Amino acid sequence: MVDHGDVASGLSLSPLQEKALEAVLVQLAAKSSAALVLLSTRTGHYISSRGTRHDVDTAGLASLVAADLAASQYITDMVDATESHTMILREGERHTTLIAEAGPSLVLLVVASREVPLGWIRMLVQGASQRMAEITRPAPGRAMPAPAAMVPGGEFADLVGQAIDDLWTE
Amino acid sequence: MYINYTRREITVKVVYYGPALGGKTTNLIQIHDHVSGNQRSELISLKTAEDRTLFFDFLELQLGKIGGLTPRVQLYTVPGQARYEASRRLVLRGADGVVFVGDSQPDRQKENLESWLGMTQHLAGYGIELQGFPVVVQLNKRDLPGAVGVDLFRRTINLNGDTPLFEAVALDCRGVRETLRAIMERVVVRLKREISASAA
Ligand SMILES: Nc1nc2c(ncn2[C@@H]2O[C@H](COP(=O)(O)OP(=O)(O)OP(=O)(O)O)[C@@H](O)[C@H]2O)c(=O)[nH]1
Ligand SMILES: [Mg+2]
Repeated sequence: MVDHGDVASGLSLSPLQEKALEAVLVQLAAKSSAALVLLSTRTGHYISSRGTRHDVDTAGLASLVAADLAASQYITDMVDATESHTMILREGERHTTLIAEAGPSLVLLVVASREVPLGWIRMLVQGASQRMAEITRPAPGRAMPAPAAMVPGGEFADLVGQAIDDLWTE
Repeated sequence: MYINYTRREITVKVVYYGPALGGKTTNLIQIHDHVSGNQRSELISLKTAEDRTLFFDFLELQLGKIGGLTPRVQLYTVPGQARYEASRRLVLRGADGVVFVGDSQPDRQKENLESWLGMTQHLAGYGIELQGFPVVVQLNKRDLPGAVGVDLFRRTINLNGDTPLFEAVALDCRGVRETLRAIMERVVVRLKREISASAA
């Protein structure tokens, strides 16, 4: 079985990487006049989105987009063992929806009007995916910045436990 | 795990795993119903017409700030029916912790064991050993007559003595919050350990 990308290790992006990804998203959204472009990790964690639609449940969407890609890749693995760049296309009545892998750790969703030519969107998505893959490629010898300073010390686990209890309403 | 420095957020993924009809989806429904709308996403359920999980359920919780940091938790369930093995494997990908929901009914013990072994195998496929990985067990459906004893259940799945077990009646929300709290505490302990290790 081929495994795609990061699994147990998780993903942490440096502020610089986040900025660079953001810039690619902004450009992609503008050039494709997309209603929505959304970036998620391969394990379904929402990163960022752009576009004219603001009423979407981004957390839920990110989980579905990642799952859709994972299922498609699993299907491909089962019937055709050669690895390939996965892009899922849906042509709706009013919108074209594209889901594409962007390097080993990211997934990209693009929702654009049917009036935008498919070839154009596809080309933009391919370009954006490639740049995102480059941005997130871990440079050899350069470890991810340690987020130690960000995580509160002391009784973090207790505090999180307390925070769960605080969520609860009867 | 996903860390966003700019927004100072840490998102972790917890998967509810277990045999068919054990009550995994019921746990998420209860959590959804007991957390106010501004601290959670909508519940997404990819299910069959008979309300059986087909791919997964998904619910995200946003916890209150802790030291300037916002923890988010993504909760997933797997589909328990035997034929969805491949989907279970996919949902487990990237999990930071698992809740195993076992069924108390005496005639479901074989399914408990099979599901537990399947989970162990999938995790191993992702390079994760159960030892040291955040796992919490919930023994559900304690309300049913003839429910098996906790000790028998522990022996059935050969559960190590350190793994916490919560008795639950998910349908009445008994044990649901306790289970969630316990897994989150364990996930966070491991997270801190990993982060300090990477800082060293
Ligand atoms: N008596 C009793 N029934 C329960 C309890 N928890 C859940 N149920 C019922 O058990 C049935 C299955 O519950 P689900 O939550 O859908 O089970 P699941 O584990 O998600 O099942 P799959 O999606 O097929 O894997 C439902 O009819 C629930 O109402 C419980 O604590 N006691
Ligand atoms: Mg279910």
